[in-house]
Amino acid sequence: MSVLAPLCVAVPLIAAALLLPFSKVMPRWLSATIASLATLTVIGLSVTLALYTAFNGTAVHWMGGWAPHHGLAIGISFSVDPVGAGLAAFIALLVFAATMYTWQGFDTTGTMFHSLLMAFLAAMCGYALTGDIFNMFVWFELMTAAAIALTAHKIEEAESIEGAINLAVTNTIAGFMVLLGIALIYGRTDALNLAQLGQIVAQRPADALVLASFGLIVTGYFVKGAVAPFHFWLDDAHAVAPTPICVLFSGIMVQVALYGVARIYWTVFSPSLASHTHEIKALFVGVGVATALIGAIMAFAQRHLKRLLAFSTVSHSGMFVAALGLFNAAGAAAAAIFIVAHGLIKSALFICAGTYLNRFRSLDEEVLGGRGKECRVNSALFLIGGLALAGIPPFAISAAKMMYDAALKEHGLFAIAVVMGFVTAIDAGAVLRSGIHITWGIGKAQKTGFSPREEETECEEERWEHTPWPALWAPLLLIAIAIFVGTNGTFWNAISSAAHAFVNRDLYVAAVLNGVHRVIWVYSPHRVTLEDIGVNLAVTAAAVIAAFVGLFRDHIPQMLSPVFGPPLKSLRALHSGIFTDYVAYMVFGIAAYSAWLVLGAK
Amino acid sequence: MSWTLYFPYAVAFWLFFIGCFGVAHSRNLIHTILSLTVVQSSTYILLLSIGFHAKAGAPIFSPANPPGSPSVDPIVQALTLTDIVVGATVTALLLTLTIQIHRRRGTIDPRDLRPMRG
Amino acid sequence: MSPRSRTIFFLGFAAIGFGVLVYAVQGLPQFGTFSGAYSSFLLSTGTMARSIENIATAVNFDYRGFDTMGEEYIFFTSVTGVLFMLSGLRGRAVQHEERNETAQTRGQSGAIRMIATGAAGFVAANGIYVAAHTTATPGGGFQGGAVFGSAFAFIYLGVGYAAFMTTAKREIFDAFEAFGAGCYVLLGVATAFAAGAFLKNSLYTGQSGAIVSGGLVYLINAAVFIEIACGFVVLLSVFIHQTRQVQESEE
Repeated sequence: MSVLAPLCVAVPLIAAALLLPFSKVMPRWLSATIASLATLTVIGLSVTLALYTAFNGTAVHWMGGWAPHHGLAIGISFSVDPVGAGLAAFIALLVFAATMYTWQGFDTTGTMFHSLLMAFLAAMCGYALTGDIFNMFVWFELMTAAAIALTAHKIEEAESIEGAINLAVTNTIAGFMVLLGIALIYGRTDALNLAQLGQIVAQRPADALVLASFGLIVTGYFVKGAVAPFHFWLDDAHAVAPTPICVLFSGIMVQVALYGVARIYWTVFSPSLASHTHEIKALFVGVGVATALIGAIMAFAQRHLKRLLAFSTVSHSGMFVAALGLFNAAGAAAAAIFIVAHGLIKSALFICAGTYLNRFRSLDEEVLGGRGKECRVNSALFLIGGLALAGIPPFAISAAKMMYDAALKEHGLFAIAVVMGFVTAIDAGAVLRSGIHITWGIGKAQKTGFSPREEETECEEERWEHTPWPALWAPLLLIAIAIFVGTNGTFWNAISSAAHAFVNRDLYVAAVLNGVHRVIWVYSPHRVTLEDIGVNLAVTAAAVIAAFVGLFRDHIPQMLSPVFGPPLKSLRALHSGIFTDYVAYMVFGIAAYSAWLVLGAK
Repeated sequence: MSWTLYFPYAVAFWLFFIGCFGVAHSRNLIHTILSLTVVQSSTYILLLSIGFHAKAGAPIFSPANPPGSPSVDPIVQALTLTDIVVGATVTALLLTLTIQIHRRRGTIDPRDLRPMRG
Repeated sequence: MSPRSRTIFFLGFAAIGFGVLVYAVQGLPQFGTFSGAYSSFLLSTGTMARSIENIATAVNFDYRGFDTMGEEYIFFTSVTGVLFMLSGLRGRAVQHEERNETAQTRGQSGAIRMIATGAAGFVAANGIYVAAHTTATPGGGFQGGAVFGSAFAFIYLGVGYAAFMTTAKREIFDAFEAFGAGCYVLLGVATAFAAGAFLKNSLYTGQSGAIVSGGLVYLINAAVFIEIACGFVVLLSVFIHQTRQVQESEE
């Protein structure tokens, strides 16, 4: 049964190799079909694995048949637990939505787009399922290589190339940082398997080397995970990438990197860093809050729809980091369900934005003002998505926010929960503001922020006269799944149980190194109280108010602008769009994180 | 002197930061790509010097050098091989992007590329 | 940020980062004293288990063959990406401009062309040689493939653009590259179903020291060689075609 795990990676890779040589002769519908079939296969395999591991414990497949020799891991393992398999299933689901979008009306220019997409899917699934730290790095680099090529899809536009260059430079340096961290911990332990590393590192409390290794690995993966001060590349890449790629970047690629950090922490570093948890928690929660605030404020100051949604992803990424930074099962469960909810809603929003681009050749809020009436279903979906992002029940984000606030309150961080509620309101308010202005044309559009007023469409014809069916069905499907996730108590319990298995290091090590598979069931139902629903409705109302404040800001007194103006201006100036600045910020981040961990944790 | 025993590791980190300095101050995209190569070589040096074993040979055995003779670590060598391929591929992709940006904007100076500000 | 402030900002924080990391690095074993259970185990049992004398090859293709599969696909993806971004008309057939080849080849004497062709053949054979002796020498599929790919550079430099484009047909080499990449994964899937584990080396491993030894390692190595060699030829062909387009646009 564990042999299904490498098949999750092998099937898309075979599809990628199959699609490339026929790039000039294969019609688009055939390559889309092959890609969809491969993706559906992966969904099937990973859901089977998720169910199997939920009832039988962590499934381990040793590549090459190299089982551990008296407890010494000598091969590469795919160590699949419910969180890993569930993540792989979710990745494949979003890739399927992206592939469905390319069925009709999308200019893929040959089969190479689908080939790259399949390689991207294989990389993310491999990253989610693997149990070896260097194998994670290899899949991480494959993700980066595919991401660079896919971002530069609209090669005729110079901005696409600039966005791809920013992505390439920052993520490449990130990969090397991760590799330096891996080298350091290898030098200490001579092991590369996550379980084995954990065993050896746990033998004594963490010293500067272990902390530095942790710092480098975390920093490297945080670049991919769009956490401040490493998030700058994300908005540039999103502004120019084609819609299905934006769906994948925001929906799952960023979150997969955060999963990697959590996995490495729990299996490798958690016992030895036990004496430093206070400082590490402070780091994660602090950075998470900062990222969330920066993302939300910058989102509100954007007029380009995709850039706005990208900054919203940055702020949600900060929220995930804060939840993971609690370092307990409740935080992990809250982050997991929040990732699923956010992925579904954000993907739907991006697809709606893509439709606006193809219908009206623009993503600028001002140019699109009032034109949303011409595509009513799409505008309705966009507005529903905006409300869902704010946390209105019964969509998934409301359930996620309930668990998130509960996890924070349990930990005594009530103030952080309030700040995150505020962040959600601003974030969703920005989306609602654009949605309302585009649909009905009321209020004043956002005037600041980068935006080419007219852009090349992503479709083969000049523009869409009518929205083709995949572009409406994809967001409908995603929002429907979001309603299911938001109301299904069994799903919440499953995620909660999976999170408890995720943070249980002994279970993992026993399964991987000793072949002992045990299952623990933790039944901790989250009761939905009226108070929870009230909080979500309040945040949604705040988001709607924020949207209207944004639309009618000329009518409110200008007293506050000297207070808010200069900081906002300098924040915007930091996002300069040149990768040279981004690398400088990255070095600042490396220095800050390493110094905090190594020196502060003494 | 005890610091010489850790000197190669320090060299690796020095290269990393010098490479990043090159990227952060580059005025030409080709220079950026070569600075990334420098960053990459820092990882090679760290990996290979971690695996080094004094007075030991290469991990290639033959009748004259049978298995069991002292040898350096083969695993870091395999990791470095993987790393080299990764670096070469990223270089190829970035060079392609450089060619294309030169065609569109006529310049490969990062400062002259019209950035997406704000 | 202005360049000056960026420099000061960068140098300050780089100094802090460097200091912290060098302080941390003192926890490593001293240079030259590395030893560990994993590498000792591999060194002592690798040759016996798989008849491979080059333990680094054994690690690359057998013990950690799955990493190498991922790495091979990184190469595949970036060649696909380069094609995706540079093939001019993007997926549709590219017409090669053939009109100026006599001017190209006119400036070269017969001696240069002969030596270049001979050298190309020799280098290609050397590439195959390096790749074939993977189990007993520091050679391997990656190294041999890179050498093989560079043979085509000789043809471009010595014989000219037209000859290069005739020998390095992009579609054929592209197909072979995909074939090589796909073979690696298919071998893994085949062994998964036949032998129970993905990429399990269950073939007869031969005698250590012989050229053909190592079992599945040899087949994987051949697939990698095909993929890397053809990938390099495709990359060369695409980049050289770019220089040609610049020349044409300058005329």
